[in-house]
This record gives sequence, C-alpha cells and structure tokens, in this order.
Amino acid sequence: MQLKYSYFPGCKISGQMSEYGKSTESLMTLLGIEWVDLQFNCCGYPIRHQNLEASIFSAARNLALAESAHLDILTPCKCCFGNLKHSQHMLKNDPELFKRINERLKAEGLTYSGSIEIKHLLSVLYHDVGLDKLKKHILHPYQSQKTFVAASYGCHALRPAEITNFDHPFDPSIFEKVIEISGAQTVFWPKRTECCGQPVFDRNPSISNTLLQSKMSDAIQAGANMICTACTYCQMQYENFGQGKLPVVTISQLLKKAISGT
Amino acid sequence: MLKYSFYISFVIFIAGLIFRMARWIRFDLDTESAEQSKVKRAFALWESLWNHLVSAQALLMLKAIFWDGLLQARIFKSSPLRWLAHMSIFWGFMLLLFFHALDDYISVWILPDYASTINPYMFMRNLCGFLVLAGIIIALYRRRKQFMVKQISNWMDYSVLGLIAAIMISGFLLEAVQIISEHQFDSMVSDYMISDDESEILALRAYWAKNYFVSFAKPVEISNETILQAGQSIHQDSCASCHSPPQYAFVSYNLTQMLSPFATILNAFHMDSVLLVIHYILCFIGLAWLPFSKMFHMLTTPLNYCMAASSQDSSHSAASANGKIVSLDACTHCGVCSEHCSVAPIYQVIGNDCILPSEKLSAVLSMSAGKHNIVLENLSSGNAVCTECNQCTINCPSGIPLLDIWQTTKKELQNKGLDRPEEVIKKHSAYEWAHLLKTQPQMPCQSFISDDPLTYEACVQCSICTQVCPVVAAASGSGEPIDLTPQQVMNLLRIGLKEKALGTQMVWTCATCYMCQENCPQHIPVADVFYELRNLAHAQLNFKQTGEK
Repeated sequence: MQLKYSYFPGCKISGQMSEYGKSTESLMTLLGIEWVDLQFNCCGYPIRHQNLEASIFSAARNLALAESAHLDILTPCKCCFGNLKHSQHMLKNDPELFKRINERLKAEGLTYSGSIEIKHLLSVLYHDVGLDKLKKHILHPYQSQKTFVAASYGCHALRPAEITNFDHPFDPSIFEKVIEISGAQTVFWPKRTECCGQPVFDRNPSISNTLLQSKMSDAIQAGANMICTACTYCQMQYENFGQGKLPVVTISQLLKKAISGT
Repeated sequence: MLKYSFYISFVIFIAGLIFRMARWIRFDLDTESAEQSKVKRAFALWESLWNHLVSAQALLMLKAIFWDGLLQARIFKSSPLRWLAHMSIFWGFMLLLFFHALDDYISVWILPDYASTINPYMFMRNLCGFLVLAGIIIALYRRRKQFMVKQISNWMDYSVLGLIAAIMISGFLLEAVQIISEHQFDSMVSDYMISDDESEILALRAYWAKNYFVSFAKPVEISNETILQAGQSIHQDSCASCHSPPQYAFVSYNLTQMLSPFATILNAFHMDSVLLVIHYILCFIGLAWLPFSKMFHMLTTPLNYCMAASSQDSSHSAASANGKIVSLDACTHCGVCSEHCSVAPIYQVIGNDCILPSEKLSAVLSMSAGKHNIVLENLSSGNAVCTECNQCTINCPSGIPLLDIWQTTKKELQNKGLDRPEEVIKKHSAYEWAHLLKTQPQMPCQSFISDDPLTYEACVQCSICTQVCPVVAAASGSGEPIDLTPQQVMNLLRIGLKEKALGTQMVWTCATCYMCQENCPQHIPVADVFYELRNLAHAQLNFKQTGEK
C-alpha cells in the first residue's frame, strides 16, 4: 500500500533547522513515502504557555487542513506531535471547545471533525513502513562494533502517554529498534526519556543547560559515541549546548546515510 | 489655475520626498544605529544612493531591476493573482505616465507622427487605462475576498486604489465628453481649418456628427449624401491625419454611446473643461500625496531590491543603519507576509495585530521614530509570539529582511526595558507576586482545572512529583534550589492560595516533560495545572501592562 501523508515540518525546520527538514524529505523519498505540503501554520506548542485556546485553535487549523486533504499528518518534531495530539484530545473531550474552535475555523471555510491521525516520523517508520521493509533499504549499514548510539526520545511524544499514544512513557523501545535496523548498536542510558532542557531555554537558560549536560554525561557514561534525536527542538538544544562532546544526528540523517551512503 | 496647482503639488511632492528620505537618517531601528552620528549617516545615504543607483555593480542592479522591478518575479512567486493585478496597474500606469501625461516631453520626440488622437496611440491609451482598472478590480477582489488580506486592509490601501481608479475613470469620461463636445469641434475648426467658408464647415459638421459622434446643439442634417461627401473630402484634407475613428478609443467610445442622450446638457455645461480640471487635479493630488502614502514604495521597493542585490555596505554601519529604515519603507502593505505567517491563527484568538508581520512592521517603524507608548507594549507581546519560521521573509515580494528585523526588534525592546512576561516574573518572588496580583484589578479569566477542588482532592502529598522532576534536581544540583516544589505548589492550590502559586519559579521553570503527571499515583494533572497557571499569569500581566485585554 502506498504511504501518503501531509508533511508537517514545523516552524523551526523552515526557520533555522533546514538540515533536518532536507534529510527527512530525502529519507521519505528513499523509502517511497509520498507527501504533500499544505499551508500549515504553527502547531501551537510555543503559545501554549500563554494561551491554551490560541494553541488549540492553531493546532486545529492544521488538523482541518489535513482533513480537507484526507491525509494523516506526519511530523518529524516531537513538540509539534505532542501539541497536535494534545489539542486533538482536548477537542475530542470538550464539546464546548470543539464548537468554539469550529466557529473560528468556519470564518476561513474550514471544519474540524477529528477524522485524521497525527503521526510522528518514528511511528511511521516503525508501524507504517515496518522494520522488515526498512531493513531491505539498508544498503550501507553501520559497523555495529563501532557505532554506539544513544537514542534521545523527547518528552512530548512520550507523555502524557494516554494522549500521545506513542510508546511506553518510561520504558519505550521503538526508537532503539529503528536505529538498530541501520546496523548500529544502541546503548541503554537512564536519562534517555528525560527532558533535554529546550522548553526552558527562554525562561531559564542555566537550568536548560544543566538539564542538557546531565543527559549528555549520562549518554557518555553509558558508552555512546553518538546521540540520535527525532525532534527538532531536542536537536537544536544539543547543537546549542552540546559543545561537540558527542556527535548528535537526527534519525533522518542516520537512516539516510545507512540507506544511500551519504 | 492648473499650472499653479501643478506647481503646488510638485513642491509638496519634493518636500515629501525630502521628508521621507530624511527619516532614513533620523530613525534608528536599534541602539547600534542610534549611536551613529547623523551627519555620517547623511553622507552614507548619499554614498549608497550613488553606489546603488548610479555607479558600482551596475549589472547586479540591472538584473534586480529587470526581474524584480519590471517583471516583478518576486510577486509572481508569492501570488500569481496579485502579480496579475500589480503588473496591470504598474505597466498600465507607467505607460500612461510617460507617454500620455508627459507626452509633450517624451511621446512627441520619440514616437513617429505622435498625436494623442490617432492610432495606435489612442487605442493604446485606452488599453492602458483599461488594464489599470482591471488590475484595481482584481486588487479589490483580493482585498475583500481573501481571508487574511481582508483583515489587514486599511483606509490607505483602499484610498490609493480609489485614487488611481478615479484618475482612470475621470480620464475615460473626459475623452468621452470630448468626443461629443461641440466646443472642442469648434475650437479645432478655428485652429486647423484653412477655409472659413460657411458651407464647408457645415459639411464637415455633418460628416463629424455622423462618423465622429459630435453632438451639435443645432441639429445637423446627416442623411444628405452630397453634403457628407463634401464633408469627407474636407475631413481628409484637414482632420484625418490627426484623427482616427473614435471607436478605437474602445472604452471612451462606449461611454460616449451611453452618454449620448445627455449630450446637449453635457455640452451646455462644458463638461469637457470641467472633467479636464478634475482629471488634472486628481493627478496632482496623486503627485503631492505620493511621498506620504504607500505609493512611496514606487521608489523604496526598487531601492531595496538594489540594496539586497549588492553586497556592498554590509560592513559599513552608518549605511546599514540607513538601509534598515529603507527596507522598512519598502513595505507595500500587500499582506503576503501575514497570509504566510505561521502564528496568524494566534492573532485570530489573541487579537494583538502586532502578531501579524504586515502590521508589526509599522509598529517597528514607530519604535524607530522613538515613540514610547502603548505601541511598544503591543509590539513587545506581539513579537514574542513569533516562532521565527522565516516564512514572511521568504515570501515578501519587496525583499524586506523581515526575520532580521524581528530579531533586532526583540533585542531593542529588551534594551528599552520591555521585558517578556517570563522575565517580568523573575523580578519578584512568589510571595511578592501574590501581593501585587491581589492589589491590582482582577482580569476575568477562565480557569479550567486549577480552580476546581476536585483536581487536587486525591493528592496525598506523597512528593513523587517532586522526586521525579528534572528541574527540581537540576536546581538543587546547581546550589540554588527551586523556591517551591511541585508538591508544595499543589498544596497551595489545594488550600485555595492560587495567587501565591502564580509567580513561583517552579511554575515558570517547568520543562513540561510531564514526568510529575505521568508518575503521580493519584493521577493529579500537575503539568496541566502548571500550564494553566502560566496562562492565567500571562493574562494577568498583559492586563496590567496595557490596561485592556
């Protein structure tokens, strides 16, 4: 079956993290995943601190756009994923809110009914593409004795698990399984499901940095020689504060290299 | 009278030009710009104008002028519909300006056998006017029908379109009443006809009444073939070389047909002279208003293209200080940035128009002018919403480096002491905030879960939330423990001391990782409550700052 999604890169990819966007698009092409670009707006994650309603409306507009194209959303960013999921959950469980948001959408000729799914890139790779099929594409596997990858999960996809429905909130495994398909080994590190610190970067840079450093040392202690992310914000955080202690790549870059050699 | 009107409008135009260009030196986008001496900036402006428009990098400039100025490739990229409208208005208007308005200085010298009433010039003039009007209709359609553009369109956008439309319509009406004008016919006869034989003039009148639709007060016999033939031969000798049949003026001619029942009245009131004055005065109003209106983009947008195309001056701080203001002036208020703005839906809910790039830009301009008022507070909270997705810059048809401007603005607002709420919160302790928030007028704000006692009813103060919180651990590790732990905040809420929780570091340093909530054995939505408290505090702070919503 042909996989086709509406691709939701998120603001940071179009703004400053274009590398993650490019490699994700190449990866999708290599795997034969079709996608369309819709006129998406912000997922609503950054404004959620300030105004929940604005955040939900922002998310709902994206969901309505994807609905009108009859396509599930695929996003490589866990914060976008988490917020879209959260808004979907709120809209499902609050009929008043559902009505209000739809009234706002109507002004633009859009409606939201809740008929599409929101998927993170990792879920698409693991559930929709499938590990068996993914394995067939790996023509340039990593040397397993030399590559020890620490998978940095990203909180907003994991929790609250009953809303995100991504994987186990404290003991997830799909990220590692996807990485292992590329031939690399993964390491177990206790802080792999903890916060990277990016969400407090604006509000408290020093705590933000402390959080990142403690993850970084944990990964090094566990024997990793590479960190892999699957979230635009996590990647930004590692690039800002990581000081080059370990190479940090996105899942798209990691798989793209194992598939195409570059 | 028309001559003096022109002089007055031209003087206003020049004064306006100087006024607007002086702003490029006077206004400071940022502190760095403000530190440059104004004299140095005046020289730099002169130097840049010289460099950009006259001498260096001529090829780059030509390329920018050709693609972006004449073919308007950037507009096409951002919106083909808008390109169609703008190209029609731009080309129609420019051709009319150079070959019709300035025909005495241009057309008669460079066009073979130019006369305004012969083809192809008569036809072309109508075509250009028609294009401009068609473009204005498309532009109006876009401004009335497109969701975002409709919201940002203001009186300036409509009045500029209205003025150009009025110039075109008055021109067409003028031509139409000139066609039927007996007065025009008479003065042409006295100027150009060699013979003053009464019967010859009568014959010409007949011929012109029939074929050129002149309306004479005294009825003219137009069915007598002999007279018409005589009229035709006089027409061939004296008129034909300068007059193509009026049908070629296809818009004005059709207007003539519509006006013909009222021809006698129109001629009696000398409507041709009246409309001539109206048409000229409208053009003079346009000229005088140009530097003060958004029409100024005719000069600034090409200048901005050239500045963007050249790599010069980027290190020259006085010139770049000027350049920033020039680029702000290049905005045409087309609204493409706001159409593509990633946070535009947030504007729909919050309603601060400084969220939308097209509106934020004018607030930035007032900031550069040194205004310190409510504009800056709106600008500060609007600009904070920006996610820096860069879509505005990518899509701006005028090539304005918008994201750079927003980032500079962010820093500049901080320099001016306008802190974002997360910074404001740090200025006082939680207990001080509790007092401050209590004494100020309360913002009516909807709470979903934090005011509901059921939310915390099951809390047994087991402190698991605190133990799993990475922020609590990071703060303790750094030697500056957090003021209140999640469990303590829950306890405050449980006993109804919400004001004391709103300003706590815990609430504002929450990393939203949901460890607390997911681990809570009693299923208390700790992280959701923190989110809501930040929402409430934000509402309260904005309320305090602006005095309104």
